[in-house]
Amino acid sequence: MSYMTPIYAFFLTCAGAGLAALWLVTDRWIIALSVVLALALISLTAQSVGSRQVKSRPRLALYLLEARAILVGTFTTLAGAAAIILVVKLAVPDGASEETASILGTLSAGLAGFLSTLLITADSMDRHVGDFIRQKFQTTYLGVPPEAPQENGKVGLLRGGSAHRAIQSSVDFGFSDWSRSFRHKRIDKLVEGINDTPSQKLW
Amino acid sequence: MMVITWIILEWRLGVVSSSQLAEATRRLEAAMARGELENVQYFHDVLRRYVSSGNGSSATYEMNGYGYGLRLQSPMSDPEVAEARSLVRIAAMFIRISSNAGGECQEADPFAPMRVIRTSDGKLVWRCDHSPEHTSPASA
Repeated sequence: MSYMTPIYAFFLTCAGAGLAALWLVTDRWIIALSVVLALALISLTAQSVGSRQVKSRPRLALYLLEARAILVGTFTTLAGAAAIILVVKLAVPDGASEETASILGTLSAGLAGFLSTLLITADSMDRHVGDFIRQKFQTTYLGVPPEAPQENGKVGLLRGGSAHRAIQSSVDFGFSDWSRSFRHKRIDKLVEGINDTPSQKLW
Repeated sequence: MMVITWIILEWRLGVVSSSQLAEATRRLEAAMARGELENVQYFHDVLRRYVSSGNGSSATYEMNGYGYGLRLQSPMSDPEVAEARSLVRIAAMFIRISSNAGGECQEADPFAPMRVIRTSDGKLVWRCDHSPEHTSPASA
């Protein structure tokens, strides 16, 4: 478990509780909904712009694509808020029969338990964002033989060169995955490889 | 224990002689003690130095599409070839252990993990997880 996990869980729980409070206490659900939609929109816009920059400006693209974490975090917060709202709304009313109280109690616990399983840890978030970014780069930066024809929207790298291996390998340079530190080092290696040996970039 | 197991396995397969193994292992252990085994690039560098230092012989070392390999150019005398090859194999072994992986096939993108398969005629080959899969030439 990453040392970030408890900090991350605390932050998301507080955000979820804040959203639920906006809804339940102040009845300003429109603000809660607007915050969620605004964050989702920011993230989606950054991802969209980032996807288009992968080919020409890989470093910028990497930062923009990492905004996917905002989208995942937003929905995780929403799930947390929904759990709180459900538990409050399903509170047993005064004068309810024993049977009704029992059913509502079980339902409430079950729903809250289910929603809590949707919470994402810092590690799984990093893995998810890493896989998303890996897919974007690995399908854009292709290793090709010297005479290979160009493909639209792709970058042809010399097969086996350092730039190519930085993107496609899980062994070379010690980059075993696309976690945060490794993905930044991979892109550094890609840019450095192309700058130092421009012949590595075929088209 | 894992390192010892791998060394014994490579030796049992007849990949290297005991004296070559001892020399290659000694060099790598010395490099590990110096904290130089941080990444694969190190092996490229050490091998290039090692091979080019032998009697003015020329050699090129490169990734050969099936994990780590050595392509040697003449003139190279047989003992030098065998020794250089043993160093590559030991280096690859350390990389496999340190990366917890069985090497990578670089014939297609993204690179895919490889595993050793024994064919029906008893030969050992490397086979990858690409679709369609790639198979290295039989090695033993």
